[in-house]
Amino acid sequence: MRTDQDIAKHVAKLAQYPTDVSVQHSRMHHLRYGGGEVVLDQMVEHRTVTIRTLVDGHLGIVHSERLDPQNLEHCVERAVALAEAKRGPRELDELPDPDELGHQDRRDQALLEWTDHGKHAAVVDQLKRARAADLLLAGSVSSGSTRRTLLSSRGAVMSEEGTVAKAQFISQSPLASGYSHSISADLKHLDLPSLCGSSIEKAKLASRRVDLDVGRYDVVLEPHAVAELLEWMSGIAFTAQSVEDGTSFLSGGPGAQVTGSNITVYDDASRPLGLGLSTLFDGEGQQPQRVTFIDQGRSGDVVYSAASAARKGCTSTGHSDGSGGEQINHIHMAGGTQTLDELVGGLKRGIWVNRFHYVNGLLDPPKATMTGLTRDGCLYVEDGQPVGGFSTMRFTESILEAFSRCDGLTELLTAVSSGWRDGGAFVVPSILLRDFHFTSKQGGVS
Amino acid sequence: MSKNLTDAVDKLSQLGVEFGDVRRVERATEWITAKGERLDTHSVSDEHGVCVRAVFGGRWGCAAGVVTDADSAVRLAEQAVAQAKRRAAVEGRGPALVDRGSTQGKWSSSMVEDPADVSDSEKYDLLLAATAEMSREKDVRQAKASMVFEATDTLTYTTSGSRFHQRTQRSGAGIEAIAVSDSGEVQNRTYPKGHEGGCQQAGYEAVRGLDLVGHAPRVASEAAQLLTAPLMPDLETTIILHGSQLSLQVHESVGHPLELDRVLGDEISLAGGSFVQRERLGMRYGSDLVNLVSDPTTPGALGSYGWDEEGQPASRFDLVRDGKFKGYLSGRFSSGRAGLPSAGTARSDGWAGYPIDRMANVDLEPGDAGSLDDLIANTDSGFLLANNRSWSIDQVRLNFQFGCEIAWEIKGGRLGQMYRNPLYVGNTPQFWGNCDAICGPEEWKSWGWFFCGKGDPMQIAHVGHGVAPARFRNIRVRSA
Repeated sequence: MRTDQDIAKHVAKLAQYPTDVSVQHSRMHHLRYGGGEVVLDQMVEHRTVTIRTLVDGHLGIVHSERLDPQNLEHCVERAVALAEAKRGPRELDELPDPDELGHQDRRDQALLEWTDHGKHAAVVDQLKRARAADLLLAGSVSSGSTRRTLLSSRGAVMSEEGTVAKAQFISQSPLASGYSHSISADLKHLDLPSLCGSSIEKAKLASRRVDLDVGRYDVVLEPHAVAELLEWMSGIAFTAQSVEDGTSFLSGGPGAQVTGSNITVYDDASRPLGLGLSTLFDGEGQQPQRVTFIDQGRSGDVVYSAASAARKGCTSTGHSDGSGGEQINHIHMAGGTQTLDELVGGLKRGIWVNRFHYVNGLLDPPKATMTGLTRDGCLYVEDGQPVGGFSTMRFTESILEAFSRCDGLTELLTAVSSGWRDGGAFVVPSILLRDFHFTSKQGGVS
Repeated sequence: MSKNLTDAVDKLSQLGVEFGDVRRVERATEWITAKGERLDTHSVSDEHGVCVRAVFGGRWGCAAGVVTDADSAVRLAEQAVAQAKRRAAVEGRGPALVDRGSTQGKWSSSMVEDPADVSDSEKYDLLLAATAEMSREKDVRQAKASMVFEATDTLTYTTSGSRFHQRTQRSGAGIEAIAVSDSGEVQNRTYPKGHEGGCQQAGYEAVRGLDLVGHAPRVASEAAQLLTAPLMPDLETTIILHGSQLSLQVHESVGHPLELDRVLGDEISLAGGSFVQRERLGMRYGSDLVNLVSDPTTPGALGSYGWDEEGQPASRFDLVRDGKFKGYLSGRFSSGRAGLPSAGTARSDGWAGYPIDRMANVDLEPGDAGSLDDLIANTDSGFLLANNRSWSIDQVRLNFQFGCEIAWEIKGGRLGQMYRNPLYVGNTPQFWGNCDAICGPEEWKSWGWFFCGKGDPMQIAHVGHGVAPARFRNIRVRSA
């Protein structure tokens, strides 16, 4: 039983009830560095089977990393027992019956052939380069391949393979730091020297220090900062579960004005910049549909799994996580017409945010009130020119209200990896928000 | 399986490593959630993998993978050595290793009632009874209840002769009521604390002891009352933090900044650094009342163990004594790099995780302010804040802001008006410096936090924080 399909077919043969089986595999190499030194060199290989069985309208779900025949038989029995023990309203009348989606191989050969030695040497070159600029480098480079296979209860087989590489550089001096980040499915889009150079440049710009008061500032948020706000927004508002709970700002249904009319946010697994693995099918074998959450400032739809769709009386959007919930892996924000230089150049007295730190979106979810802090290479700008870095500042703000004051978006969209999940990416522009509210700043240590 | 580990250790020795360890982790996890009248999920997972670390030329390599056959661990050992050798070739020789120690033994957390011996049906009955109680409150839109059980078996062999075997059973449960008004106001209350409920190292007795059904009516009623409660006022005042919030305050503003790997710069790529640099040993961290310890020996606390993952026996270790900073959370190898004593708190989150400096149980020692009722009675004016809702702290762990589910005004030593959306803001050493009363041992309890994210790749640790409610003066509060 060596291949993923072998495992899936073996389980299917054991099943006495409608059952779908998926096998996830990943092999990733991680290099992490801090204080100018490599601090982690690790290879990790995962392989997990997920068995979903439907008995009398109830689902039993088992995940296992033990792939021997004896344990797989036990997992099938356990899934049935879980489903049989459940009670209450039926979850599903039948398991999803997906179309045969075939096999998709999106692996980048160059990335597969990027040797650990080559990667390591490239990183060490950047560590030396930062030292030469009197900076210490921190960050990480992770790369590898992933594979998913799903066998539906009615025998449809689908699989997809991909590659992914992500890198981040934080250049630090005692006074300031700069940050850069990239994620790509192709090695040719991962330019480590350029990325490192960008973080060094930001650290240099931030090394001249200014003292800022808390208050309202016009801000230009670069893609990483935009993505972090959207990641929280997706958790508190964009799923069927958050609507059922009543906590989503989309609970009132479509059509309400929730942000400025230049804001459009949607999930689309088919877009070329939308990286990650859930491009072909979700955890139930359904092809993900494009779902628009905010359409030119007006509330839109949310994502559904088969079970949440059944409760709502609609069809799945293809966003099941395979464990009973929903997942959103390809959030896009529509771009505008401007360049980053134009946005920053238009700041009279503002803040250019490279990225945020520790955003939390649970303060008041119906208003999308969030808090978070500036970090790594955020710059004060006067008359369109960067003046220097400043002490860490905290914002606390309804992001819906802040998005109602959006006064510009770049045409260029950038992919940003998720802060919490391995799969997927955000594809977003840089944006200009007026009167963003900074409510406190970092004090010193006496 | 132990033979596979022995083979892997032998392979490491044959390949000439200076040190190596092989850790096999087996883990079974169960999550059950109920919403309203339905069982939402019952997810079962088991993990089974091996992590091998090897040192060659002073450089570490690591390989981890699921166990597919009898030779898996040996292949991982070869991979780890190859990585360490490559590092030594590219980066040059690394620092000399500190004493690697040698540990032998077995350790298990205690358990009265194995959760596996309790039927699924009985667990469902309990969860659905709790959600039914909460659903009686007319303003409650969603009633949730959940349970988690996690059994972990870890076996570690090293080239320096260590052989140690640890078994841990973690169990927990919690409830949440979400109330929604006609105007769209949304408020939630949880028990025993926000996010994942209450978790301990224990068996099913931990769940029974929570009395979820008994607390459900109060939780639902308070969620409904919050809908029309006034917003928390904006002022500087005195606050008392309930253990459900103070435990997270300890976690974020004491535990994380005192992790030595953050000070050394290892954690910059994810969570950040620390304001507590090494020259600050002895600095004033809090008032004289504030004593904070790392204690992985506490029975039942969520982060306890017999040895950390580098084989150092669990022991109590001072972090802050009489308000002064005394030492870091660290493991043998990070403390060796810094020339400091090790706290023995190197941990990983499973077979795929690389051991890093972590909290196990970071506790605030009790004071002499008596019970929570006594402390309230001895407070002229201020607020009692309970149950965390939101948390955020800067990357060196100085500026923090916490939101809570609920606040009650304290006037003349009595609890009064309820307030919604309370939050408070502070600066870590100033905040702890303003601590002027801590309740006594009768109120001290270890709160389990199930999801602590750190590392790159991210690892999730389970940690415990023993606290008794405490009072803080001159704190800025306002509403979200």
